[in-house]
Amino acid sequence: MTIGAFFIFILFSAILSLAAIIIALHFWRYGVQGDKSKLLSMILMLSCIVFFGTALVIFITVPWNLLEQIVGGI
Amino acid sequence: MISLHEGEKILSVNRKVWFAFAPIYGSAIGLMTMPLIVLPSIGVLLPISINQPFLGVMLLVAIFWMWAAWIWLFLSLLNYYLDIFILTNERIIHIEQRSLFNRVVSEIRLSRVQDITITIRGFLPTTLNYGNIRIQSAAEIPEFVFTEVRYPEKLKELIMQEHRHAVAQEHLLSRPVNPATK
Repeated sequence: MTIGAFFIFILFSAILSLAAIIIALHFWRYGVQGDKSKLLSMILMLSCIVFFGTALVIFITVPWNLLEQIVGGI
Repeated sequence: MISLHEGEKILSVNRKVWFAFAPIYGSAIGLMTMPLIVLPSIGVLLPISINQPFLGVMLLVAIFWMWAAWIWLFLSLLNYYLDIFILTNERIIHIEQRSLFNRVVSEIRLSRVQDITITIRGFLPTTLNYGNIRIQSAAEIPEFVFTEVRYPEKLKELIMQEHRHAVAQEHLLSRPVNPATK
């Protein structure tokens, strides 16, 4: 259960992080002089770090063994 | 960044009017706040879900949901924000970001502009002063259309003014030099 949950966590995080990086790179490369595209790129990357950190903290605090016992019991 | 020629200056950068993006922005905010309604509702319907480990798993799902909605918001913002109509003192550049990996950049020299048509149709465009601008040219790309642009009349005037400057400058450069003045 723990390994499976960890695998799913890593997979989802990787997909969303990769999408964020690609979008941020687009903003960074294709902005026009003097516009807010670099700021948007920074906001996206920083917010993704916050989302990942929050998800990691929640993932660590979940008692996966307990869940395995309950689900196994069912 | 847009690479400019020597002596070229950006005169105007135009994007679609902001409320063209408003429905997507509203939807994304709705999707992001959805777990704040759904999670307490599940807690009321299934009291066991507010205990660990179910609460942790639900919070984890909620965070991934909100993260995905956030990414979707920025993906939509990318399509809106990188659709640009740039007027410089030499040319018009039209950039169309159709999707993440589909981008079209076209440009025409101001001296090749032939006709400009603006269309302001409907109640909202008339009251909020936005519309479409269509530029016909003698270049390979026969026309540019930029939709939902703010203050299309002002933009048309600016393009026509710069067009006159560009044509006058081109005439000045192409005029043969009088040997007597040498």
